[in-house]
Amino acid sequence: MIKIKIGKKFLILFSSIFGGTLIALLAIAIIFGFRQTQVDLLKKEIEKPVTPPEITQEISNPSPYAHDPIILKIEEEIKEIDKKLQETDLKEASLNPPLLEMDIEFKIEE
Amino acid sequence: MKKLSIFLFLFFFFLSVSSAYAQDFNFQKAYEDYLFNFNKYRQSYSEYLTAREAHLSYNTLTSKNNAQEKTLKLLQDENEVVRTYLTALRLKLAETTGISNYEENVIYLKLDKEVSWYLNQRDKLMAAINLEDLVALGKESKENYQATDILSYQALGSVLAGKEINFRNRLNEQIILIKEKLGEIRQKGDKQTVKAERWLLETENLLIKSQEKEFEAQQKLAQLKTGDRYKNKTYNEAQYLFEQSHQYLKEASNQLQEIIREIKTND
Repeated sequence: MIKIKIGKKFLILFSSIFGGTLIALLAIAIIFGFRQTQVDLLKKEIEKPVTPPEITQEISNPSPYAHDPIILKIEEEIKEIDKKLQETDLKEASLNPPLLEMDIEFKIEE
Repeated sequence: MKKLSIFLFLFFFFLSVSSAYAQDFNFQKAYEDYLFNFNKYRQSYSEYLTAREAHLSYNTLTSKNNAQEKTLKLLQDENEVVRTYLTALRLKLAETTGISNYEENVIYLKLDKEVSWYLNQRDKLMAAINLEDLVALGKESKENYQATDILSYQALGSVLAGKEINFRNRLNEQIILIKEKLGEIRQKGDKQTVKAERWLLETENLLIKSQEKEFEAQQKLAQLKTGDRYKNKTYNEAQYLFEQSHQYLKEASNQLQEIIREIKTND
């Protein structure tokens, strides 16, 4: 009988400690998790979309045409075309013909 | 005199209002118009289904009358969707550079013919007396939509081709300018031009390959027939060819940048 009483007390003590720890851990996880999410969100807000750096490898050994205005103009134009080539939407999915339900029928299908 | 001045005032007022409206009506507005009508159509379709179900279940005069009303609304909205879609497509073509005038005019004529068919059909819908008439008109629209579908895919193909042609023309212009410059450099003799000229030939080959893929895509779309069940599959295949064509243009653009770098670098 005494043994059972000790067992009950032990069980209550154990379960209260275990339960308390579990709740505390859960609370910590939630608080830190939330904070982390907030931090992540803040980071996302701060971090601006990174535009890939332009590949402007320095020409160590420039020719007499490195600063030629015609060449520079052509270069600029090609870069512009290249940018547009990358951006172009070649699907135009929004303009696919509309899907219409065109079966107008008033006979019961057998 | 007073009447004439009032008439003239009203005439010029309406003329200015209509011309302002025409100037503002661009692809974006036409597309929004189409989306709005499409949503309206979806709503009508769901109402039609309910009315149809009720009529098939009860078969009363009231249910028939209701079914007739909902069918008429559905067919009218369907008609509006197709017309606004074709208008949006027409304006998309108009704002796409690169399509030849001849091709553009041919598609415009076909689109206008199609729109007038739907306008005529709209009048027929208004004149329909009973449900049976509406069912018959619905079948007519379904049959005609086969042709509308093909025209839409072909017009879309022309939009994609136009974009590619425009890019190719722009790259070709730059190739001509580089050739001129290389000729000048060769005459001066202060830099070797052999390598750049060889690379330029390779770039021109890429443009030819791009053109070939684009032709292939156009041919695929030209072969579409009204009886084809999977027109969208053919269109997707054509679109894949357009993407391949586009890839060649991207490569050509990269190569041109390398050529410029070569010209800027000493031997």
